[in-house]
Order: sequence, then structure tokens, then C-alpha cells
Amino acid sequence: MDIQLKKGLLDICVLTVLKHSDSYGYQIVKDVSDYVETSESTLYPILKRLEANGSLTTYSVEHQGRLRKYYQITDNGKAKIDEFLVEWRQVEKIYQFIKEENEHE
Amino acid sequence: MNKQMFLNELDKALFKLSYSEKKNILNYYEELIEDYKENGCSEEEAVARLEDPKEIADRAIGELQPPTDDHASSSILVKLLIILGSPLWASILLAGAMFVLSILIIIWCLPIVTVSFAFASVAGALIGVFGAVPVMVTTFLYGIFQLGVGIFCVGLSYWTIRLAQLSIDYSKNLSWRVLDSVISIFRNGGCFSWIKINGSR
Repeated sequence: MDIQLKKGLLDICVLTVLKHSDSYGYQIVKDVSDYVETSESTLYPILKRLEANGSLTTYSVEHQGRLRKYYQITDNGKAKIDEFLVEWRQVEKIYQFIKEENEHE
Repeated sequence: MNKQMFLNELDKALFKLSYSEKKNILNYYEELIEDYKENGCSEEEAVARLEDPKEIADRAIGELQPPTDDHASSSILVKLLIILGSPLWASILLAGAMFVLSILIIIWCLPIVTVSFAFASVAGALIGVFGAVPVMVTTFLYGIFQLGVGIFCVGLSYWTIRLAQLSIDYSKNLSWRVLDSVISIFRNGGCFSWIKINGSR
């Protein structure tokens, strides 16, 4: 998949996973990988970016003697998911148009 | 590669970033490796799943560090003002540096105390235990008492040494954070970009 396209999609995928429930690094990678090919290293900058623009917050929980960082979606993040869904209705229309024009040949 | 080697390589590759950013990344990957281990992978397998530390570092640095601005060439006037004003800003800078130095000294007072306690405990332990023998030869009871105190100091040494180690780590951590905040003032060009902006108008 095109890298730029993937970047935008991944941000929203991560937010969607978090909307379902708070989660931590390893779990997020697993859940998102079910839908989009992701690696642990691609995830880190995404999480940092989402935290920087206020879409998520973090907190730490003790787990088996170490600290585990949990990520939580904010209202801002939820709004971004809605924005994405609206924008992609547009994309859908354009896709339909391209597909139809292509088939008419 | 095992976890520690991976983290060390990553630490080295991330040298460009500030202490706190670096710590965040290292914690993230350490946590990830631990989670993989918890879910059945061996440490080697977990590390193998991750990218090469150099690549991770390049990507992290690229994303996190804002591109350095191309500072507009300063006018001659600005350069002149900087030189003329040097007695002022240089002495302010020096005062600032002394202030930071005094903060660091205060931070390190704690380890100085705990390490002294540790030394004292160890000395007490050594002198108490080994010095007890000659004393026992002259006055047995005093010797026993000294031996007792010596053994007590052995136990005390364990705790004081641990406390000293903890306080050294704590102070190191704190010192880096202080230096980090100071350095980031200059790295982001805080003071100097102000001068340049006002000079080029």
C-alpha cells in the first residue's frame, strides 16, 4: 500500500482500537496488524504523534513488577475518527466515479 | 542479540535525542520485548522481530526532531550588537552556568552523604570483625562486644551500599534532566532566535 495513504490510515486505526478499550504497545500492534500491516517501530512514532496532537493520553500500570504504559483515547481523538469517516465518504464517491469510468471503456 | 545488547545499541544510536525522549523510546521497546517474552517468545526471538536499532533510531530521530530552521543570515548590525553586548550577555550566561552548577552540587550532596555512610559501615564492619581478635586476647568481653558491633556493621553495610547505589542513580537521573532542560533552551535556539528575529526586521 502507498506509504502516505497508510500513514493516515494507521493513525485512525490505532485510535479506533483505543476507542474500544485502553491498550498498551504490544496489544495495539497485534490488534492493528489484523487489519493493516504494521510493525512495532511504525507504531511508536504514531503513538507519539497522536499524543502530541491531543488525540490520546497515557498512564502507567504496574504489571508483574514492571511498569506498563497504557494509551487512552481522548474526546479529541474520537472527533478525529468521526472526521475520518466523513472524509472517506467523499473518497468512496470518487472511487465509484473512477471505477465506473474505467469500466465504460 | 539479547535484550540488553539491543537496548544498548539503541541507546547509542539515539544519541542525538534529549535524555527524556531517549528514555521514552527505550522504555517502549523494553516493554515490548518483555510483552513478547510473556507471550511465549524467547528474548532472542523478540529482539529478532524488531528492526535493527540503527534503523529504529533513524526513524525516531527523523520523526521527532523538528527540521532545523535555516536561520536567515544575520545582518552586520546584529553581529556587531552581539559583540558589543558581550560583557552583558556573557556575564548573564556565566551567572546562569554557576546557578546550574550549584543546583548540581546540591543534587549530589545526597549521594555524598549516603556513600559516606556506606564507607563508614564497611569500615566499621572490617575493623569490628578483624580488630576484635586482638582485643579478645586482652579482654574477652570487650572483644565479643566489638565482634558483635562488627557483624552488625556488616549487615548495615549491605543496606547503606544499596542506599548509596540508589541515591547515585537518582542523582544521575536528576542531573541529566537538569542539564537536558538547560541544553534544550539553547538547542531550540530560544534566546538566540529571538535576537535574530528582532535583528532581521
